[in-house]
Amino acid sequence: MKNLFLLVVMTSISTFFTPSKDLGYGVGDTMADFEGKNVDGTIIHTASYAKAKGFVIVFTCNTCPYAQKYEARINELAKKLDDQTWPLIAINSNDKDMSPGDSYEKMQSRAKSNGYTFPYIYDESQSILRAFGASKTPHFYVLDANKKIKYIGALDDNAEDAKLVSKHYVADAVQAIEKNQDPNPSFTKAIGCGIKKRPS
Amino acid sequence: MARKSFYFIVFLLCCFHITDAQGIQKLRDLDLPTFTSLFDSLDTSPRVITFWASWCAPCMEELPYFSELKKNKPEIRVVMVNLDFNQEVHRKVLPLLAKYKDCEVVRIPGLNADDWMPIVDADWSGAIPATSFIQGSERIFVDTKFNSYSELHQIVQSKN
Repeated sequence: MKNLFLLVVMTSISTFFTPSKDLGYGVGDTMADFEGKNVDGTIIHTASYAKAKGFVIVFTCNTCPYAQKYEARINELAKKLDDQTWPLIAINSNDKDMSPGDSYEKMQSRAKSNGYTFPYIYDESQSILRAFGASKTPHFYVLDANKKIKYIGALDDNAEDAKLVSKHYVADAVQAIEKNQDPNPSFTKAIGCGIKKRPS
Repeated sequence: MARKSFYFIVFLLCCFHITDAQGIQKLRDLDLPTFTSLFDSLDTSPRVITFWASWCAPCMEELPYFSELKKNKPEIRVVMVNLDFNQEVHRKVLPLLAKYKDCEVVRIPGLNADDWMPIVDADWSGAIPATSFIQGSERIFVDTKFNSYSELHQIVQSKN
């Protein structure tokens, strides 16, 4: 019993599991511009926000109960932010075959029923997902005017109940960037649903 | 009145499944030191610690494999850390306890993610399912789903 974990394990892991440590953006990295199809049929280009003082980007989806807990809060935040100077862009990268509830059509109906006022784009090719290295929903990124990533993590510190939130990480990061300061914290951890990624 | 109270208490016990007729485990809440001790490298006993929630479909698919692992390898300590929302524990988690009575089902309500998640793995993004395999200083962390029992079994394959 002393050798419960054999070296074999390492080989079996590499055989059975695709590497989970995706390379992607970290705090301090600069985001490459991307584009994606919004639920209203238009194409959203991050390069076209000339007046942006920063960006809030969130990987989310229709189906994850953890992400659903944040739908109303994301909507509220988007209403507080100016859609030209502080665009909030939601991205669904879930593969529609692995998660049929996250198809483009289902995204359209969710955006409609929830009254989303922000772009909710479908990353069908999963290229945005790969660039970011996001792994779960919801997963928030806050960027400054130069598209430098200043914060990665959770929206706030209480997924279950918005009324019990004591730390508004994303809103605080936006305020810090407005004041030309670095958000503190710049990185938080939270539970979420794994993004349904096709094997590459 | 006393009798009424007695029945009320019995009712409460039934509601919360503190212990059922077969005396199965209760759903235990861990504080941070207790949780941290699960990952103690000085502890040479084999441990498998899996993170799950009833709302996580892949977690629910693989959870029975952990129960099977415990049956096949009783020497391994199998801990299932439940991450359901507090409000849903009664309805969604307690009914599952009987099924996993051979394993330890625990919760960590009130613990801050920034405190407990790095203990599990520094690079863990928080996507579940996720599972830690620990024995002494040997640690393996898997944050993808096990598609079969044999995938899980291979990881804990013993020489003996």
